[in-house]
Amino acid sequence: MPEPIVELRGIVKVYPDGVKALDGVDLRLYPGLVHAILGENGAGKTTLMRILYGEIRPTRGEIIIRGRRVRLRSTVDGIRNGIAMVYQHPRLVPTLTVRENILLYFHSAGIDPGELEERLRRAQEITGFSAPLDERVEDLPVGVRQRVDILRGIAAGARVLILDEPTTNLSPIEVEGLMNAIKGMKREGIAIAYITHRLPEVMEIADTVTVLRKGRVVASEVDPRSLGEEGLARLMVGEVPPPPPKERGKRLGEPVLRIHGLRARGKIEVYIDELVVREGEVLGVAGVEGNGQDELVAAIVGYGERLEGWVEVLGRRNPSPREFYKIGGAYIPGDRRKALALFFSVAENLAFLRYAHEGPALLTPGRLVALYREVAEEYNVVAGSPWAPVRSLSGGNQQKLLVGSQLHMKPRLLVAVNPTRGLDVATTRYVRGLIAGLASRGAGVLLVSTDLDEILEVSDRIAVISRGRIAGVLSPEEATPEKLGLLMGGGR
Amino acid sequence: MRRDTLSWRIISETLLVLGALAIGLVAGMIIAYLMGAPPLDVMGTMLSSWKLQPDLVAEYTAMLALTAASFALPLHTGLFNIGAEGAFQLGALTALWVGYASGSLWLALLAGMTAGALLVGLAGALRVKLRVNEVLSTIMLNWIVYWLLLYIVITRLQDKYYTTRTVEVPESARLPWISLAGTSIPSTLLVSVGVLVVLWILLRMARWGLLLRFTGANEWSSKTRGVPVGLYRAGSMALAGLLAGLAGALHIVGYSLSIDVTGSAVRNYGFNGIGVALMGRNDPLAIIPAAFLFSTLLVGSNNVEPIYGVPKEAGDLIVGIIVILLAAPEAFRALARYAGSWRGGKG
Ligand SMILES: Nc1ncnc2c1ncn2[C@@H]1O[C@H](COP(=O)(O)OP(=O)(O)OP(=O)(O)O)[C@@H](O)[C@H]1O
Ligand SMILES: [Mg+2]
Repeated sequence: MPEPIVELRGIVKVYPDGVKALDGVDLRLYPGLVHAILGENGAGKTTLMRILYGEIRPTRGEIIIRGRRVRLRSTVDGIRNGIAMVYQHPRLVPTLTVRENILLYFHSAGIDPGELEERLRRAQEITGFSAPLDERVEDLPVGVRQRVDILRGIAAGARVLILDEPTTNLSPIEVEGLMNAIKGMKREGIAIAYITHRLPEVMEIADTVTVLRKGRVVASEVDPRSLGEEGLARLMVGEVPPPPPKERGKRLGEPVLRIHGLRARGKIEVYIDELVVREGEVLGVAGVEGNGQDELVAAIVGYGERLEGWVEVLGRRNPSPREFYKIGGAYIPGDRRKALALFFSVAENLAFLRYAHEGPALLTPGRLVALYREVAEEYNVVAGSPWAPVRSLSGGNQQKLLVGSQLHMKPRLLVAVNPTRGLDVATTRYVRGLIAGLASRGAGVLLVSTDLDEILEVSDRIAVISRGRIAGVLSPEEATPEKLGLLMGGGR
Repeated sequence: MRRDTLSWRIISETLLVLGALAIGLVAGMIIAYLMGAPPLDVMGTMLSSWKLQPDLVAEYTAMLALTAASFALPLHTGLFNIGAEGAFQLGALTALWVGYASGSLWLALLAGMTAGALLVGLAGALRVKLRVNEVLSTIMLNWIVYWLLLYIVITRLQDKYYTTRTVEVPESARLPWISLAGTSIPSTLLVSVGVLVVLWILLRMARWGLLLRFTGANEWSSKTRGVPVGLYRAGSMALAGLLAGLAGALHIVGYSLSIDVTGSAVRNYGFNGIGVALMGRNDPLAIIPAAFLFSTLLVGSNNVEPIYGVPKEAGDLIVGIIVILLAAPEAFRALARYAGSWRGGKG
């Protein structure tokens, strides 16, 4: 192994509210190598990286960059020490253009704005990304924002790039682009820290792996390929149960969702001729993000415009959102940060998601805590306290809170969009099990997911959505990844 | 040791407030010193006004608590209500008029609340339906009420004998005073504190308050859960107007009984309420002590001039510094929430 660029020694982090997120962690990052950092939800991965970036300070421990011990007081210090961090949700100023965002970053890095063109050209060569300089960030899709985020870091001369669950919001094609960019950066000798829950990605791109568990290192710099996915998963979370066998020949009941001649418009126009979900079945909707899933879901739940045709939920035509939940619907949106009030407490968020449509008039703290206990226990949500702001939960625990709030309603129709996004291997399995269990107890589930494995694992039927149309409905036996891929791409 | 987040937050917030207060007091003493007055005595005078004039401090506290709530409530949904000033004056005017004409206390209060609710509710409806900026509309409404009040006071309600003021509300439409610890104070304070406690319960313990606060914190989520965001926003404005209108009405039937022809008896309660709301972090319970502190300082600053011969403005300056120091953190948060309220489509 070459000399490390960055070395973290004995990092301990106790958050102000007393949560011990890291308990003596060592980590080294090497030039030109991808170091995957794995661990279950809440293991402390993001915390460790925020410390390296200078966003938060360690309670104890040393940060050594290029052999020198440094003290990072803010992200500006991190950036000036050649560290760049790309969060799952790119932290760009939405109302500014790409160019302005890059210049803002250069300002933090202490780089002359005149060098923009030249440096950006270099960064584009390395990563293969390009950036629409004069577009406003809020008009760009997430994938492009992430490219901008990476580009500006590299352009500012970062030698260490931290990627925190970078592929969760990307389409397969975008993932490929990212992998190519990573290879380019490796050739440049940039050190990469790569956080993910997706083990196939680790196999593909990681040179070495460190596994965290409850704030401690349980495996340091191991070779992913000699361990295999199974071995890695075991290190992360212990034994992972295999997916439960699918029930065959289930008896399906009445339709819980019927769609007929529906035309809806959001970012794109969607037309659904016929679609039915029956009691007892999981209908998977596969497709590349942005092909009409959002519009379809908005029309079903009722917060999106329905231009023509109708949606029937549990016998009710075109329900309003309030009616949708009241008659037994539940909804897990694809982006938890859009669903939660990040500065409100865990208990308040939970009570809101559970009771917004209908609930007891009085929601006393006692009642909130009781609800929290119930959901936290059942769905294994780990939070410092029910009154901690939801922002302080790890990404996976936020997701479990959202899922739990909806399953707690005991819905008869569940609309779930990417319900396991950001969850670790074991929790993913667990949530998929919950969804399948819901269906086997007689509810209907519309599972919209960009993750083909997820679709194939739990669906009883699979509809493929492409450019706002249902391109085909298949049984799991017919649905090979190739066939699905072809339909998703718009073929027949 | 685990530090429980809720109590930890209360402790840190309390320390913050005490720190700001200490800085404000020191700054006040420096100003007094520069003006050539004995610093400790000046501050002592300002802070002990509640002992000298308990009735006046009680009345101010009652009024400012209500107008502060009038600012705080819509802010929880993301709206800035500058209209408490106008609603207070309109509430006072209608209560006086109706109380004078009918002789009924209840009718007077009801009229004051209704007038305030309609006034600010209008601004709320304009914001929700037509995206008219509520800051501008409430400021405009304030001016309309300002001139309307002067016009009606002079043309309709002026007293025949005491020409510097309007007629008084009759005995039957007055709110009695209460005795407390050897002195007598207006019972408006009891009503005001009662209303704020109820409001706190609604905001913090009721589903209604949770939904209302979520409309300000996360509009998208509210919409997808079937919460009528526009209704909550417009409704919070109407309720805010009701609170300020109630304050104005209480002021007439419980304290001033008439309005002077310049209208000065009913002015600035609404604007001062904004500062009180921010000092109280927009929390109805915290607003009560904030209103008391503000009132104490306000009344006390009036005594600084006659006793120490320093200009009245020195007292105002000291009040201003303390209020700004205490209100600043919440003011930033408030601005952020306000900006957020314009982001999501309609409403
Ligand atoms: N700002 C914060 N305040 C208090 N506790 C926090 C804060 N941020 C994180 N935590 C806690 O620290 C622990 C580690 O969180 P972290 O976000 O680092 O986990 P993670 O490994 O990134 O998990 P995930 O895979 O779910 O994203 C969790 O228990 C979390 O609740
Ligand atoms: Mg994380």
